[in-house]
Amino acid sequence: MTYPRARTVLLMIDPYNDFVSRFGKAWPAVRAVARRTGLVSNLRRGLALARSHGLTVAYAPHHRYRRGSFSDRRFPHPSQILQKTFRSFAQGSFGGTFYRDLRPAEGDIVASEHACSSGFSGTDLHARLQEKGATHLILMGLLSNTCVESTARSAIDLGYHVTLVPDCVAAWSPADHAAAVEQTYPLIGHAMLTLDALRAELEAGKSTHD
Amino acid sequence: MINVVVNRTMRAILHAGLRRYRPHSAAHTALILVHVQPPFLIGHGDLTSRLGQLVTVARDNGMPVFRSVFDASAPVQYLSPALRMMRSRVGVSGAAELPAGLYPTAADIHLPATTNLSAFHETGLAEMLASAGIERLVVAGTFADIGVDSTARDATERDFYTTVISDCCGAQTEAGRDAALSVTIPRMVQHVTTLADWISEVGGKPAHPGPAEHRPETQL
Repeated sequence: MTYPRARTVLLMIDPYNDFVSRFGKAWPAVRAVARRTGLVSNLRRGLALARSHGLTVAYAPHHRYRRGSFSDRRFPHPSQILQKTFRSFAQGSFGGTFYRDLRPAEGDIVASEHACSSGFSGTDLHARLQEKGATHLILMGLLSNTCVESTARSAIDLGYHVTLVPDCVAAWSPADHAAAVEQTYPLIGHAMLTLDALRAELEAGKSTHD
Repeated sequence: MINVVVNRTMRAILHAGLRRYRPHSAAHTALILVHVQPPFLIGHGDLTSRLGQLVTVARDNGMPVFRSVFDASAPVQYLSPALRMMRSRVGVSGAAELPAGLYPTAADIHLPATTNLSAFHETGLAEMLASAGIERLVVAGTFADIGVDSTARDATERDFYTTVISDCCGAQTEAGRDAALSVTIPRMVQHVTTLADWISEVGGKPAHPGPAEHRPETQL
């Protein structure tokens, strides 16, 4: 596998405090899987790895809850019912802020917010990636079988090469995580690599300057 | 332990939150068949029979039927294992005709064949549904974890009330089918149900007596 450096993007999905911080609202639900995969530490390492190899970093942020959110929907998405109930990722709150070690840096792409699940749906993500000439995406973030998988599925239909990193994602439950990393990722993704394997690929010179 | 309690709580919240939207008729509803193509049905009589029953009940209740098909000959720059498998199945089987119960009628809408996972991507489906006044979708097909999942996700994203008929979906492996239909898709759509339950929910009548209750043979 060769990753063309100028056209490969690390795509971070929803690395909000509500998911990743131990003070986050959703942390009690995701921590069982997150601790098992070493999520927080691996996301830090993954971000550092991408930056050290000069890859573009992009963020696909979830909708931040605010008064009137989803009032234009005929039928709420299941995730929206939960978000509305718990006021997750509330605008201007701690929970709706990127985790301190996973914040965007100058020059990163921060796409517009996605309302349901896919980072591409109704957002400017595809246009922003196209401006950079992106062809290869490496996906990390939350949750394994919802937003990360939905974003992967959209990316595949849009023609990107998609790499999934099973120890850089987490889900509501071990069963949800297993559904993604044991069943779907190997089926729909173009590559599935642990973070160490991804590092080895990049450091073995399997990223090119074209 | 906390994780189990939190997940049960989330399920209860979703059940309560979605109950009021549960359909009680087939009005403004369309059926989307995803990758229901001869090569993917060979040797899977039970699934074929249930899909045929689903189509018949949908038509009897005035629901338009949209068909999304996989194009095995179109060029794809990056081939995933799923696309490789589907291409090889089409290439090996060479089957040309749908089984009798699944014959299209003149009223069926055939979406442009693509290599995409989702029936919505580059097919004009969303626009056709909007112009037909469709608000609710029923989704079924040969690969729960490939095309059905992507199509169902896109349908819900686009504000359609989405029902997936679990025993009208196959998969390459039973584990993949269970993961999709029991774990992931229920997170992504409003309703996952069986054919018999769906028929009673929309007030339709079975097209013909169904087989005795048993675990469906849907591994493709």
